Amino acid sequence: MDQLLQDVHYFFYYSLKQPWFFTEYGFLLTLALFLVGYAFFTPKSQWKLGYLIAFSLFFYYKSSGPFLLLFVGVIMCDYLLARWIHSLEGSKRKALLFVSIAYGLSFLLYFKYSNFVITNVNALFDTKFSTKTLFLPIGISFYTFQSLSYLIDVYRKDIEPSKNLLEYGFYMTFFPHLVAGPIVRAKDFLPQIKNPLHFDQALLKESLLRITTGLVKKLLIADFLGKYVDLIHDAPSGFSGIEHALAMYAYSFQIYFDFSGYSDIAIGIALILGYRMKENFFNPYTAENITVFWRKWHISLSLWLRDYIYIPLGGNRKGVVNMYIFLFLTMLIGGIWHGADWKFIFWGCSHGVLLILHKLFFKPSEKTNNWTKVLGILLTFHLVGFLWIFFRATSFETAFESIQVIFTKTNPLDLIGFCYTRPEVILLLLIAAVIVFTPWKMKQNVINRVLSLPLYVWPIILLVALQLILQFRDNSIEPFIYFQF
Amino acid sequence: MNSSRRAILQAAAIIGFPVFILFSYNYAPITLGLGEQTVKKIDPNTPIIAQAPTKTSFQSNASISSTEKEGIIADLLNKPYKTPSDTSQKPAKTRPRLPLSAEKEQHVSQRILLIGDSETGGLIYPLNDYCVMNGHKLEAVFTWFSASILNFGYSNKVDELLETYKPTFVIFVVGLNEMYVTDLERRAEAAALFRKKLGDTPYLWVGPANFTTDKGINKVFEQSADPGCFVFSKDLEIPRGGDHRHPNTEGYKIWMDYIASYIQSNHAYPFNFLPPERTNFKLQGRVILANAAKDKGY
Repeated sequence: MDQLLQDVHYFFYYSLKQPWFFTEYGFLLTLALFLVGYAFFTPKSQWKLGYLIAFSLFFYYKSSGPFLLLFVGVIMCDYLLARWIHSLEGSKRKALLFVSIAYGLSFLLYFKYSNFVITNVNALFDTKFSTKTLFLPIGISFYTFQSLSYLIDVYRKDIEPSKNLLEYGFYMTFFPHLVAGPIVRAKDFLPQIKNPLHFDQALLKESLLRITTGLVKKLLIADFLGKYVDLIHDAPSGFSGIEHALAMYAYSFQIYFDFSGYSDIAIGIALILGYRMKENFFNPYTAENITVFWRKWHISLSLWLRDYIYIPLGGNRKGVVNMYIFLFLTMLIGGIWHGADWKFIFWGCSHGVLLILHKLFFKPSEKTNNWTKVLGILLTFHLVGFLWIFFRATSFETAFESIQVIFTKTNPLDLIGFCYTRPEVILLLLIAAVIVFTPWKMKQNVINRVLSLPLYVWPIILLVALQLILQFRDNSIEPFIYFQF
Repeated sequence: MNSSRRAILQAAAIIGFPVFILFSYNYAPITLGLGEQTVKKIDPNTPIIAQAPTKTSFQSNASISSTEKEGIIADLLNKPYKTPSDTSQKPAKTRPRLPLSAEKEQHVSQRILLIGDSETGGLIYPLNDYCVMNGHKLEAVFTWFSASILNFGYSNKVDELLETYKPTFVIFVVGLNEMYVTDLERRAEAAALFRKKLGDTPYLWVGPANFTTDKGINKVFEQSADPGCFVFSKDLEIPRGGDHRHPNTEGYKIWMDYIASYIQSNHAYPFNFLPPERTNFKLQGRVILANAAKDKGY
């Protein structure tokens, strides 16, 4: 009983060590209780919005604590700035947009990039500016991009500014996408406030399937593979080439299952609340080239970069050479968005170069047969996986060390020993490979079969899934990888 | 009731029901089993595998019963080893022995702390048998899976362990994860830091039971330790487990005999450590498990 009271008490406090994630069982129980209240509001009620915003802010408080105040401040300023931009015309309108963007980006730049800039300035000019201990507010990269898209859309007159702070607040704080996306556009989302989805049993089953698969993807597959990846990257010099190569595959799968698992849970919860968010992943590792990969991977970010960076720069309207430069710059910004580190910049630039090379040497009209398709898929997967090494490694040095070990110390016979040592990693890699490389149509067939199950089996499915997760997990749950961005 | 409202309530029930069951089980004073497996609880505040020992986590570890800890270790040790079809490792026919010289040392009861990487997990029971039979107390074992000297040198775990358990003798086993390392200067720095942490506490630094030729880590350790406080294990011919790296149960016993012989006969501060006549005594001390892949400590 004491333990129960202690846990209830703990529930209302923010803990830096244990921020709230979708994967917390406490969150799932709270969500169920929240839904009971939510069911009794009429679909277009302002009270319903208020209820959802209050829960979303509590969710953000449990994830980020005092940074809730910053978030609320950003929302209120954006709301006012958008209305102001809308009321102006000509150069004043443009100037205010730039001021708004600068203001919106200032928090992101301060929290995420100031230490990076200071470190590099010190290294370059031999200065001794001191770095600060900064805690990155969770989800700041996502909500900053979301608010920028809103301001720019208002400026472009693609959308009317929201006349109701409650509605704009709801769009920004909606907890399913709040801390790790998908990045939702106001023009897609705000109309749904007035016309929420009719939630029926078909949608209920779809949402339950999304939530369950998301939990399994994240907690069973990604976290388990993550432990192996951590082991290798923590002391890269202590492992063989095969172990490093398998860590590359493991991380490629881990990041996919981690982030797509989060997106699945977010989309599933949003569905129950009556809102449809766009897909963020579409079988990305079955892409036969790098261009297609970026249409299937983190779709909401790719589209954001396309619509707010690449096309405004000039897109393909200013000649081929400029198009390649714009493409490169867009991917560079994509890399920087992921983190304040040269390895992310290198990762973004490398993807930019790959996209340019693909556009240079392959014409979209070229017909491909099945074999070239398979070869394309394997090549793309390995190129992407290779670049993930820079994404995951703790530094440039360890990334190159890992690559060097793969190319110089790989003995295929080591695989036999590895199978004896870590059979569970091999098994999980095989399972993950089967899942990611299965064609979409086959997956859809399986999904349709699962969706045809009667509703009463879903509590059992969820119970079994949650207990299985408990059986296989150890002392801690990994935070979602994309929480750090 | 309209259909949307009904569906939302159904969603609440379907999500809430399984989680409610799991939380009820979490707070219930029973633990269920399924075959040989324990049905695990959510237990949000008590980790199943203990975190690396910070001052606060020592307190939280208190909520794991000693039976549970023994269970974890027993699971670890009782895991069936797969015998590879082809292996160059052959079990030693006789256990390596150093000449015993117990008579030169008066009997002193020691409070022993065993710390190190995953190798310590296999040494726990043989060491416990030695301690019980020789009148020593195995105070605690800190097994830091996947750890290297960097973890022990740069973290403050060792300071905390010494402060908490106040051992009179420390046995430190590390190096199996560092066979291929070449950044020896950095390792030497960490080794020196580790040595400094031990202060005046007598210790035995046990080199790794090499599964391959190392790139110099044994030399680093030997150089870092005081004279008579380091023992090589790199040339021991001991049977290995299925991973070709760690010794198997028999291998750990052989290794423990070797370590004990060194303590009794060759150590700078020798004490009685005769081979036990009986084995499999109940585990005495506290066992703390951590994983360097999750918590590297610095």
